[in-house]
Amino acid sequence: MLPGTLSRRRLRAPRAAKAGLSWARRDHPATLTPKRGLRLYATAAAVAMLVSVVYLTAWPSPAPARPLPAGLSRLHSGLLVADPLDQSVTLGQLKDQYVLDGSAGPKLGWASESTAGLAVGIKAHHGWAGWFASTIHAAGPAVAWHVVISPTALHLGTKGSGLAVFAVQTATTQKSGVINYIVVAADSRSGSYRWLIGYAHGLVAGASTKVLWTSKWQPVPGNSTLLASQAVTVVTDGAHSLSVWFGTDRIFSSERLVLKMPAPFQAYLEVQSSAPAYHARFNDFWVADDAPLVIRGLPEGSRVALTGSTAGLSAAATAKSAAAPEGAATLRLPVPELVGTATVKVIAAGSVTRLVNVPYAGGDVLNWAKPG
Amino acid sequence: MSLPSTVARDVRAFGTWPSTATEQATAHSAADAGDLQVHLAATTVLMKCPHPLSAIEVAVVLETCGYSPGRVRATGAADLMELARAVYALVPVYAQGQSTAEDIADEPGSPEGHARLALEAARSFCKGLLFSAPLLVSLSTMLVAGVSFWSSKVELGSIASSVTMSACLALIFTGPFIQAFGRRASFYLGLGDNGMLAYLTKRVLGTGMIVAFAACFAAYFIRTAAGGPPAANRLGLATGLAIAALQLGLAPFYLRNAMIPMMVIVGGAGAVLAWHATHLGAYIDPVNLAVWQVRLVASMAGLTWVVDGWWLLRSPEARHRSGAERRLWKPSGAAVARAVAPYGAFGLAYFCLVSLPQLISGGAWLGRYGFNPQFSLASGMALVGLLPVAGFGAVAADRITRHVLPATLKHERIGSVGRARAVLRRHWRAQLLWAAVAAAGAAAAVDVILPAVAHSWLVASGMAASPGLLYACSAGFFFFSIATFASQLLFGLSSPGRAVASAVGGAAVLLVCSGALSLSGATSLGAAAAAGFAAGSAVFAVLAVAAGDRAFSDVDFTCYRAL
Repeated sequence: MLPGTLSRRRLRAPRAAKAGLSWARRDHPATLTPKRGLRLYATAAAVAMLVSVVYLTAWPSPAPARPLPAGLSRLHSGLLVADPLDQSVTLGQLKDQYVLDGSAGPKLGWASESTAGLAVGIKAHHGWAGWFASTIHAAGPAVAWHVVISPTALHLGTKGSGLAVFAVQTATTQKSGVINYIVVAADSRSGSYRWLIGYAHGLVAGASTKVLWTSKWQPVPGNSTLLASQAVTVVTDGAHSLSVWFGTDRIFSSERLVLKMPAPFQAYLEVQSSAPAYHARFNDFWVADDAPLVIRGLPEGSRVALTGSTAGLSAAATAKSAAAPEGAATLRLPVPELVGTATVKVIAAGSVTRLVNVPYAGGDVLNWAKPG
Repeated sequence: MSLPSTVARDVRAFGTWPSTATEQATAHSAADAGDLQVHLAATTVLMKCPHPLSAIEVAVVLETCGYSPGRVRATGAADLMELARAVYALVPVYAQGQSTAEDIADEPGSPEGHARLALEAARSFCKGLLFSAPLLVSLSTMLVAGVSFWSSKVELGSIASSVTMSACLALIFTGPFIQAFGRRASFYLGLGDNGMLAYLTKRVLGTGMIVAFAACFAAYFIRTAAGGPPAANRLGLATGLAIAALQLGLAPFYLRNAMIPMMVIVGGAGAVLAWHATHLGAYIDPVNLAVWQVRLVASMAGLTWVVDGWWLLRSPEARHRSGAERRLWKPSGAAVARAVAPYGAFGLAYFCLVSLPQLISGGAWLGRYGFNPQFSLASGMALVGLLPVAGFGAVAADRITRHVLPATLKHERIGSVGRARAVLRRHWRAQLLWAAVAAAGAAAAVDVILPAVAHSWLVASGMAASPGLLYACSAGFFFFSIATFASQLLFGLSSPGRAVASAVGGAAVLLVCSGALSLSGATSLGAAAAAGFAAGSAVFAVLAVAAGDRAFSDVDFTCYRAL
């Protein structure tokens, strides 16, 4: 027992006096056996401090928790980032997941997230400038990058042009200085717009872009402010391979490019403008392993079907697989639909088991515990 | 018969003797006479008064030493004055006879004296480097792996802002408690009072932890309420907690001079950090790295607290004391607080000087804070200049209290206060000179040699600092080093008031200067912080050195006589 704090001593003194202890005993409290108390105090303080630090340093995951229905458990998650970008969050919360930066600077560039999506914009200015929200975490190369872009229209008579950009860029810039990236962008000009796909090479700052594919120029419909949204999915190995989907349509694919883009990669949700105020909205951003979904623990000879129901697998699409002898079924999913919620149907020995609202992602390994 | 060397030293040092040829002749004849009683009388006089001005003074001393007429006659002298003349004549003989090589070497003007002081300084310098082990290890990992315990070249604005702000607050608010603890705990450690050590640890270090956490929590609350990033702010709060715990946990290591255990803990953590940073792959995730750094610092801090509790805060003197002896009078909390208040005030002002510029460079005067990488880099590189001198000062101060003061007390006890003060003053000035040389050398290395030799490497490592800021910060740390050194010696002389006044003066100048520059917009925030730091440190240094010179010229030996 540690002797002595002053308050304790005050409490102790009357008791000591009652007990008839000497003056010396009362006023010279024991300083004899403090070791155990100090050891306990220091050890407890150290443990409390460590626990507090571990708790405080827990960083919110870029992929939300995905609860599974009873009977299913997730052995491995292939979902790296999933942000529907459909909630009202503060700028501070946004900064916990994205880096907001760009040549426009914080006075011209802005970003905000609401139920309508993540808006990234730039105010009217002179000269070419950009502003972006890039992921803090990096991933790749064997992953799919997906986002829905809603570019702004620039109406007839508007001077300058604006770009709504989804870029997948090497994250090794700090070590290599290389800023090579894949770009998918909506290019808006006075009363018209087009989509383009390209890649860019550059060192530290400034990159030259090579356009690989463009759509035809299309007129801006009526008085609409936002152009038609486009779900964009990109898969690249950073070396020679690049595939891009608009919705479920693969509109560009090549295995013979010279990309020189060292993995891992980061995604950039970005706008650029030559002068006019310009912004774009982004929704349903996810990054997942470009790998099949695996379900284990199935009865031998059973068949599995994954039927899309919500955002992911389209209603018409069904992934089917026969379970391997070890009780594992491998379901290859379409790349643009690597993430979603579906119904899992297990057909075994004539009986059918349906598991509804199963959140899935490419690369997930699920385990099915047999009922009973 | 041998005379104490200190007396001989004094005798020789004052070496202008009012001796005439007749007196010299008398002296030699008296010495040759080999009269033991006269020699004993001479020894007695020289012990009390090493440089008598005349035979009359010797007579006075003899009389006060109990040379009655009967005892005088026993020496063979007719009366007191005759004995006094004989003794006075012997003084030069003793002086010549006792001029040893050691005494010559101690002369400040002699080459041997310089060499010895230089050797002492070099030894203090090397030993002092150990005192800066945490910073040295931190700098080493920064150079090797681009990451230190609480900074890295991988910068994420939101994390950097909250982490650096909390780190500054942790340093500022633990500073007073560390100084206060160091002062008081060393006293009870020497007394072998484990109970009071435990009491102090809980009260002082525990309170320091609470105060630092409260300050960091206030910053967290304000930043989060203002819409700041919650996770980054939580990380900042954790950083403040970990750094405060580490600072406080290391205090007993300094108290007990436990440099090797400290090196093991800090060096081990540094090695782990460097290994981790070099194995992160092609991309260093700033969040992952920052979380890792903070948890590593917290682990170090936890380990230091455990070592403190289980080992360092148990006085080795305690087992040599009986139970009754250990029942020491326990002072009231208020009395302890009053005793350590100057040290606490010094700690606060000192850490304000070294930490506030970071906050000022981020816009503290404008009511906001954002990490300023240019200033941080310049300041961090210039900090290299502080390391050797800070440690050097600590060792020099320790040497003053443990060796120089006891040595000079010998002079003081034999009545030569002036001589004692002269020795102390000479020691102080020599040490100050070496400290200035070390600080200037470090500053030159940072400003001139490092950029010239390793410019491309530094740029490649992302460490190219703005030259103007670097020079200003280097100048600031040069003065700060000198001031630190002078303050430590002032503490060695138990003159905390003068050190406090110097540090508070410097901090005030820092605030005024940087505030004026920041609010007027005349310079960038980084330049305002650097200029304020340089000005504040210069004032701190001038005041501390002036105070040191006064203190060493006018040492009051009263309290040391009891030692």
